[in-house]
Amino acid sequence: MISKAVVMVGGGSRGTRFRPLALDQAKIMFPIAGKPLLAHTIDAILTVPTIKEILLIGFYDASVISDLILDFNTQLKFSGRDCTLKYLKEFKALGTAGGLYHFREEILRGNPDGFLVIHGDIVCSFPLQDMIRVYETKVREAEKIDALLFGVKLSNYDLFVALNGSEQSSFGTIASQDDGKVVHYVEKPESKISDVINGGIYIFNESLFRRLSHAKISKITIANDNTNFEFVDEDVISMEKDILHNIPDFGKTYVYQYKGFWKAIKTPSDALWANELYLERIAQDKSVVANKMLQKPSINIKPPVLIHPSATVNYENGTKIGPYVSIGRNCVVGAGTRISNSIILDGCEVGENSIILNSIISLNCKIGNWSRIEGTGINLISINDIVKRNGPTKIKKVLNADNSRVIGIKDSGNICILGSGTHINDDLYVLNSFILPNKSIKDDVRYEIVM
Amino acid sequence: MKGLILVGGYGTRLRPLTLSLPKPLVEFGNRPMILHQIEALANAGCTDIVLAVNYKPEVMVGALKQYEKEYGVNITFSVEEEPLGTAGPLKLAEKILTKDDTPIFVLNSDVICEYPLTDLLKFHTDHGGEATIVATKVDEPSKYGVIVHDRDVPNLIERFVEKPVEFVGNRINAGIYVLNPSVIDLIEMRPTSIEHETFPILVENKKLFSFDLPGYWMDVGQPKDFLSGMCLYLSALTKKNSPLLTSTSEDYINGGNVLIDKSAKIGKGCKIGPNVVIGPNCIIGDGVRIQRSTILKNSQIKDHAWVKSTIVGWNSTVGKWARLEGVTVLGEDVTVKDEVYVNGGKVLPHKSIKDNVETPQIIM
Repeated sequence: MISKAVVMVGGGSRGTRFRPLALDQAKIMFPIAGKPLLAHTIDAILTVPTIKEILLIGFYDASVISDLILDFNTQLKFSGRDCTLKYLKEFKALGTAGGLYHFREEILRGNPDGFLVIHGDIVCSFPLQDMIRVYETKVREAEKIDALLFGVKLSNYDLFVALNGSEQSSFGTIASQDDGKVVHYVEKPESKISDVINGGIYIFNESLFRRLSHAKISKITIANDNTNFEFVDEDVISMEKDILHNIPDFGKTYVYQYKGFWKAIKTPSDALWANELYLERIAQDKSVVANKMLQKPSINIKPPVLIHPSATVNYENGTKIGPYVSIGRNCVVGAGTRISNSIILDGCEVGENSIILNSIISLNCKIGNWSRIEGTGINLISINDIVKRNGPTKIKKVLNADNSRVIGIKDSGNICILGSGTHINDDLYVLNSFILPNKSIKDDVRYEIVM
Repeated sequence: MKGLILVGGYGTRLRPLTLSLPKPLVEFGNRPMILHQIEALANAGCTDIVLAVNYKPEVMVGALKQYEKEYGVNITFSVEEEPLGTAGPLKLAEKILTKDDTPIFVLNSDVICEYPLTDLLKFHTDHGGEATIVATKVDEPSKYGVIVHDRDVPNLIERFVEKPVEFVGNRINAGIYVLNPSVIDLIEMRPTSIEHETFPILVENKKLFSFDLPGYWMDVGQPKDFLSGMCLYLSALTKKNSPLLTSTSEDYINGGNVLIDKSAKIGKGCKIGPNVVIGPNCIIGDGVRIQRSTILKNSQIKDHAWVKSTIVGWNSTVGKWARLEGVTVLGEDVTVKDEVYVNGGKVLPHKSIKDNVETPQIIM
């Protein structure tokens, strides 16, 4: 029985790719569709009834997630669910698998038959129960199975290549036999190997720790090898390079193929994308708790839109919100305002007749009247069409032409980000720009990073 | 008294507006541009007005018939077979212009100013010369032909310096003249320039004087200057306490200098001004912000739109939460969809704009 789940929450890299939002809060705590990224993952794990313990492993200061853990534990206790959350802080950043090795006793306590391992920045529909079913079926059939990987089948490889800007994948790629047995794994290959990528969710059992031990020993050997001049940190173990890379030697590893939406949240534009996907999902799934905040369609609301009950929106003068908008606690939105495809965090004020498109507005921002905060995004549907017509090379050119003015966002187009405490005067236009926290903006800003 | 207005050609510099209407009929401050000049000439006592044109569109003939009645003047088209420059048209219209001994006003149709023609005429008859050039002072005289005066005789022009490298003065030719009929005799029937060929003769004979233009002056032949000229014109109306202007006591008026036709409808919660002209039958939605713009007749600006430094052509529609700026010019019957941003777009008639226009460009 799968009774444990481990979430690798990270925290080692200081979230540089998630700037400027990472300057305000930890990436895993960033609210997407009304709740922190990490809470989505935990909620998904809790849909598996057999899970009794969720271990969060990472390098964040405990205070970053202690409130979240407390909330979950209290809620679980009151609902009578026999499950607890626990944060295990690494003594230093241990890489994507070093923490698993370090806390092996904690993970193996109670001798679980197997355990889930999930990267904390993954967004998808988490078909965990189905994945467990496949794992257990394989266990029965194959007797000894070492791991089940979550493979994401890219629905349109050309589109993926196009958006990525090159054939080089930014993910691990999995090649498998018809029965799902993994025969080859390459991290970030430079050429096409397969259209199935590593989705960052695994079911392992105790055999993983033999692998981790081997990896650890070889790390120590290299680290102590005087003829090797490269610095090797023996404590750091990479799931991808040190474990999965050796998968053909790794006994019987299978892949679970998944075709739905999937995204690793690396940059702020990924967060906007995830907001859209989760809101769509919440809107379709009537059972989800967050429905309380979900707004009914009206002339003012184009669903899905999530507004916290403590926020005040003035719907006079044809205010129009949605689709894909999340508005946080205590926000005040003025009359005649238009908001689409954006995340507005807690405590923001938006003036009258303003328009916010494809943007993330961090905590406590103030936006004046008749302002325009706009990310132009990239219309994925039209790109998909171009790809179908011309193949990936053409679109690469199209995107590259555009990229000359794009700030570091290749895969989901242009967005606008206001760091916390940003003030935007009346009548201003902020286009495809990143504003670092606590700036007062008095002139138009276009394609700029405002320090 | 007689007047000649140099209208010229197709007004291509003011496209896309002039693709739909000849330039003299494009409304400036809610009145056709040429009407500002016809009115000034009529007020100064002109009975015969000649329009020097390269072509004669039917729509203009009709419109001017109406003005003839309104102002009690005879308006004649003088159509050039080939472009005759700035002096040739005078020769072409010689019959009308020299039918009596009274002086002739010559106006440039692209220029807007306060047209103090009565004062000008008095000045002209007093100095006893053959011709008077109206001069305006500019900040950067090096871009123009500069007037240099005689040291002894006040206002007598000694010479012109084209695009001076060193500062010799800041008075330039404002494109408005008063000529005695005898000046026409100096012009030959061929393409010729009054500035470069006729005036130098008068300078030689010490017969050319200049008159300092009070108030504003602007060549409004292109969109950017059209808007600057509009600001000057509206400021002048404010200074005169003109009843044409919309009262600043209206709660939607911001900063004044706003001229709104009585038939236009303004929504609630708007902030309009400074320097805005809104034409007849325009519909301005709720929460609209307009500054430094002209909205031509029958256009609609929908709720929450933001418009600055823009000319919205006739029968156009600007969508909700759209944002126009950077000397955007919408031609006739253009639609800007909801939420779209247009910066410096010159949009040809009957187009629909669905995507943002981030950098100034022509939308065919």
